[in-house]
Amino acid sequence: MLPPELSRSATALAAAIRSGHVRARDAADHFLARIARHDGAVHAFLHLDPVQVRADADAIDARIARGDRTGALLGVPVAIKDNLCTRGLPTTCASQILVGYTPPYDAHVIERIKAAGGVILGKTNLDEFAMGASTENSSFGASRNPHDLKRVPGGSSGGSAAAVAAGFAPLALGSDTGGSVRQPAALCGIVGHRPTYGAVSRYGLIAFASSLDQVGPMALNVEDCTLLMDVIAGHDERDSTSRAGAFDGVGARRDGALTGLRIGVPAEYHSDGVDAEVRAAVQRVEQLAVAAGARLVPLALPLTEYAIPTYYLVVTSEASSNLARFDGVRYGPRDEAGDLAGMYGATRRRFGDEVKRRIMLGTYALSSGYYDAYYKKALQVRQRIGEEFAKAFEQCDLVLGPTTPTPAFPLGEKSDDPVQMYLCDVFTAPAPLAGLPALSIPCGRSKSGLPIGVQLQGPSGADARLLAVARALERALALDLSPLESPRGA
Amino acid sequence: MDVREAQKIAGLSRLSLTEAELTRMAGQLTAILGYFQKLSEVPTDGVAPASHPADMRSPLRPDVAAPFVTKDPLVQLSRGAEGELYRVPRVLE
Repeated sequence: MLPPELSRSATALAAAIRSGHVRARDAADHFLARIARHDGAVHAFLHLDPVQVRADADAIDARIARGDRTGALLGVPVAIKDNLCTRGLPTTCASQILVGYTPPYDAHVIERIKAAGGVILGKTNLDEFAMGASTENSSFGASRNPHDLKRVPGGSSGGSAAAVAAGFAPLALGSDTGGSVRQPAALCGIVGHRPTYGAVSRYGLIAFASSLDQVGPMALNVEDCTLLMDVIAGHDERDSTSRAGAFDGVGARRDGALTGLRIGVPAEYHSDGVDAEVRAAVQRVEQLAVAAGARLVPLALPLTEYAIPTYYLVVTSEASSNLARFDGVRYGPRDEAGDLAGMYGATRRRFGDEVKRRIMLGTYALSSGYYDAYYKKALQVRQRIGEEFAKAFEQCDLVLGPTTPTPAFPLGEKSDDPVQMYLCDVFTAPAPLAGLPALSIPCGRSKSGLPIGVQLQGPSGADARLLAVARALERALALDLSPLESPRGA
Repeated sequence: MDVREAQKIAGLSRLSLTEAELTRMAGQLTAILGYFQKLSEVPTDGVAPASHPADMRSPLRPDVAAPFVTKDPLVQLSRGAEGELYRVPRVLE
C-alpha cells in the first residue's frame, strides 16, 4: 500500500514515481486493491480492466527504467467518466443504448493524459447521458456517497467524485453541463473545476448540450486539480469551440491571491432555501478570506432564480437534437421492428425515463408554435444572465457562494420528482449559461459529517485566478483532505 | 400537455412509448412546463437570443484535407455494416 502522503496527493505521487521511490505498478496495485475491497459498496466504476491497468503501469515503469521521466502525470492513475471515449474500453454513458460500444479512438483529454504518462484506471458511473444530479439515472444502478452509503454522491459525475473521495483514484475527469463536476465534488468533499467554455477540447466527449458541455478535473485538493487541468487544457482543432492559450498553469500556482481580492457575495446565494449549515460554512470562508486581506462586495444577481428554467430549456432542446444520433444505425445495439421508423422507435426504447423526458421536452420547446415562447425566450434570458454576470465582474474579481443548497441527500428522496432534482443545480447552472469558469472546494462538514462545498465563479478565462484563490482558501481552511479510509454508513 | 399531444411529441422525437408511459409523461411534462412559465416574469423585449456563451469565438483552421484514420473501425461498429455502407430496413416500397 502507498504511504498516506502519496495516497492523498497526486502531485506527490507523480514526483515519487519520477524519482524512482515508488513504481507506477505499486501505485496501480494500491488503487486497484482499494477498488476491489470497497467498490462493491460504492459502485463508482462501470468498467475496470485490472490486467490492462497493470500492463499500462508496467509500460510506464519500463519507460522510467530507460531514463525517460517526462510527463506531469507519470504513473498516476486517473478515473474517467464513462461519457468520454476511450480506445479499447467500453464507453456507455451509463445507457442501454450504448451497451457494447467500444470506441476505436481516444477523446482529446484521454490522449493528453496518456501523453503526460497518466494511467487510465477505468470508467466511472454517471446519470445516463449525464442527465441528473445523483447518478440514480444510471441504467447500471446508482453510485453511493462514500461519506454515507445511504446517500447520493451527486451527479452526473457521481462515480468520478465517489472514486476520488473513497481513495480509489487520486484524480478523475468529469463533465459539467450544468454543475455535473462541481455538485458531486461538493457532495463528496473533493475539488471539482468547470473550466471556461472552450478551455478544454470536447473531442471524444459524447455530446449532451453542446453550448454548455465542458470536461473538468476532479481531485482531492486544488494543487492536484491544477495539475490535471494543466494537462487537459489547450487548443485542439477538432473542437471548433476550443481556444488557444486559455489556461495559465503558472498563474494558477502563484501564491498571495487573497490580498486585495474583491469577492462578490450575492444576496441571492444566502436565501432561506439554503441549508443553515451550508450557509454557516460558506460564511466562515468569507470571514477567512477577509482575515487574509480580501474585501467582500455585496452583490445582487436577481436573475439567479431564473437560471434553472433557462438552463433546462436550453439543455433539453440541445439534447433532443444531439441524441437523435442514437437510432441503431451506426453504433450501439439495434432493435429491428419492421420499417426504418420502427427500428428507430424500438432501439430508442432503451433510453431511460429521464433521457426520454428531456428529449420530449426539448422536442416540444423547439416545435412549431412553441419555439418563441420557450426556446427563444430561454436564449434571451440566457443573454441577460450573461450581462448580469458581466456587470457583477465590474465590481468584483470573483463571486463566492454555496455550490449546492444542501449536503448530500438520501438515495430515492428526489428521484420521483424531476423539478426537485432540477433545483439541485440552482447555484451551478448560471455559470455554464454564461460560459464562465467555476470550481467547488470542500469548506466544512455538517453535524452529521457530510461534506459541504463552496463555489467560486470568475469571469471568462479566469481559471488560473480561481485555482490560485481556491488554493489560498484551502490553506486557510486547513481541512483534512485525505481520502476516506473506508466508506461509511454501510 | 394531454396524452394526444404527448403522442405527437413522442412521434417527432422518434420515441415509441406505451399508453401508460404517455399518460405519465404528459403529467410530468405539464408540471415541468408549468414551472418553466416562470421565465415570463423576465422582461426580454429587444434582447438578442444567446445561443452560445457571450464571448465565444470560433477560431478558423485551414481547409486542408487530412486522412481520417479511424473510418473503417467506426463503420464496423454498426450492427448493419456492409463494407463501407450501413444496411437499414427498407424505406421505400
